[in-house]
Amino acid sequence: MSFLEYLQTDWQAVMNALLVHVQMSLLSTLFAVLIAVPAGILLTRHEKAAKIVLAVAGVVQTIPGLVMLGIGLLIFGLGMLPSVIVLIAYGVLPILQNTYTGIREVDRLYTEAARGIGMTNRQVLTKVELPIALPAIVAGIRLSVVYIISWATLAALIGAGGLGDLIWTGLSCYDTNMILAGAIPASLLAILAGFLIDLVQKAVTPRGMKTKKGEE
Amino acid sequence: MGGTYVVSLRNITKRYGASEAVNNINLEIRDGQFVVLVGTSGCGKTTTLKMINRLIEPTSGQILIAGKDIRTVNPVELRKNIGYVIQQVGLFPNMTILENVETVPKLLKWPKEKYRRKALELLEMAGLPSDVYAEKYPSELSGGQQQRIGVLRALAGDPPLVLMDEPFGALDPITRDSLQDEVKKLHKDLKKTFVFVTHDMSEAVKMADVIVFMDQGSIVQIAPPEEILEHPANDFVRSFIGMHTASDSNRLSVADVMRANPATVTRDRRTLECISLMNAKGIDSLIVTDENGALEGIITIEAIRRSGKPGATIDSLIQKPAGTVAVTGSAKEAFDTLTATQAEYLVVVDEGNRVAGIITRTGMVKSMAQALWGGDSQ
Repeated sequence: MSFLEYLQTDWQAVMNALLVHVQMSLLSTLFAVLIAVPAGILLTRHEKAAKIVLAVAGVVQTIPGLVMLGIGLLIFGLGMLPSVIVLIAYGVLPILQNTYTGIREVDRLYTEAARGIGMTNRQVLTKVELPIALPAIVAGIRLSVVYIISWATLAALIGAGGLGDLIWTGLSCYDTNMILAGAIPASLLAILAGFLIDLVQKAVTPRGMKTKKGEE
Repeated sequence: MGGTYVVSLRNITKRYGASEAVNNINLEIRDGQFVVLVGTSGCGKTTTLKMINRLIEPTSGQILIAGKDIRTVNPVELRKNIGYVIQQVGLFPNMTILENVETVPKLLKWPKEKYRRKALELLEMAGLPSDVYAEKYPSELSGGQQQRIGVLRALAGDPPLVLMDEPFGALDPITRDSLQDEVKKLHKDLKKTFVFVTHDMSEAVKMADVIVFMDQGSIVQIAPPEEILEHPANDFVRSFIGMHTASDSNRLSVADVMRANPATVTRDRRTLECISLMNAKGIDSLIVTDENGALEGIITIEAIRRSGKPGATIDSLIQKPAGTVAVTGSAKEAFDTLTATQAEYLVVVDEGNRVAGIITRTGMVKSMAQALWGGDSQ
C-alpha cells in the first residue's frame, strides 16, 4: 500500500489526530503566554527574583521531555491534562525570557521621557515598554509554539493522542505509512505556525521600528 | 498663576550617600521668565531641574510651584502640567509624530477634536507640515526635526512651565542655532516659563532672561546675561565665560595666548651651534638673553648666512626684536601690534625684562578662533 492510498483509506484518523494535536498545542501555548507574559513583566520590576526564577526555569527546560512526561503521568495520570501541563511548563521559558529581556532592553531614555511627561507606571508599561518590547515577546512565542508542536508528538506516550499516536503506533508495528502520516503533518504544522507568527510579528512592529529586529 | 514667582526653590539639598549633588540652593523663578541653569557637568544643574518635576526628590528643602508645595501634588499630575524636553529627545519609536505630539493632551483627557487641532497647529507652527510629517515615525526624521517634535510634545498640553535638559546638546551648530531661535520665539509668543539647562555659555547668553550659574552643587551667581558677562561673580565664572564666549576676548591677557618657553641662546654662543639649534626646532630665529634670562635681542638665520663666520660668536649679529609686549598686557593690544608690524612673532617679557614667551601668528589665530567659536565644554 502506498502512502497516498493509506491517506485515502485512513484520512479520517489522520484528521482526528491532527485536530487533537492542534487543540493540545493551542491550549498549551495560550496558557504559556497567559502565564509567561505577566510573569515576565513582573520580573522586570523585581530584579532579584528575576535572576532566581530565570535560573530555575532554565533548569526545568533542560530536563528531557520524556522524563517530564513521566513525572506528569505520575502526578496527573493518563490523558490530555498531564501532557498539556508539561507542554506549558516547556513553553513558558522562551516567552518569559523574551518578555523580560525585551522590556529590560527598552532604552531608559524612553521610559524617562514617558515618566517626565506625566505617565503613570502602568501607562509607561502599556504605552511605551510593551509596544517597544512586543516584537521580542512575539519572537519568544514563536519559539515556544514550534517547541510545543514538536514535543506534543511525545505526549501520545501518556495517552494524550494527537499526531504522536500515529508515529508511535507506526513505529511499534513497522508501518512506514502510519509514521509518515503522523510525522509529515506534525512538521508542516510547526512550519506553518512559525510562518503565521512571523506575519503577526511583522504586523505588530511599527514602521518606525522595522530596522530593529526582535531577537530570536 | 497665583504669585509673581511661579517656581521657588527653598534651601534645596540633594545628597547621594555622602556626596552632595545640590547644596542648599535658593532660587526664585518669575512667571514668564526664561531661566538658564549653566555650569560644568556634575555641577548639579540637571539634578536641580529634575527636582522641579519630581523625577528626583530633594533630600531636604521645599519647592513651590504657583505657591503650592509640590510634595503635596501627585507626581504624575504635576508632570502632566510641566513640559519636559531631554537631550536624547526620547520620542516614542512605536508612535507616529502625531501620536507623539498628542501624548500629553491625551493623558490630560482632552477631547479628541481639541488635541488633534492643537497637534496639527503646533506642527504647522514648527514648519513641519502635517500632511508630510504627521504619519511619519521618529526614526524617519533627522535629529533636528526629532528635537523640534520633542519640543512640540512638551508644549502640546499647554503647560505654564517647560523644563529643558540640554535639549540641543546633541545637534550640529547650525540646527542648534535655528532651534534656539525658534524656542526663543515660542517663549515670546506663548509667555510660558522656561527652565533650561546647558553647559554652553553662549547658548545661555543667547536664551536667558536670567542665568543661574552653578558650580559644585551651589549657585554662584544669578544675573541677567549682560551682568554676568560684565561682572562675573568669581574667577571660575570668568574663566567659564572666557572659554565659551567671544565677548570676553579683549580681557584675555598676553599670558593667556602666548607660547611659553621659546628657544633662547646667550650671546657667547657660536653661529654653527645656533644654526643646528634652529634646524632641530624647525625655526629660523632665536631669542638672545643674558645669563639671567633678560632679553638682549634676536638672532636670525639670514643674519648668520649673510655675515656670520663659522666659529664666531653671534654677538655682533644680534638684532632688535620686531616688537616686545609685557606679559601682563592685554592680548588684544598684542594682536594689534603683531598685525601692524608684519613680524612673525612678538617677544613677551615680564617686569624684569626677562623673556616669558612669544606670541606667534598661529597662536593668535588659534586663540581668536577659540574666543569666537568657543572651545568644547570644559
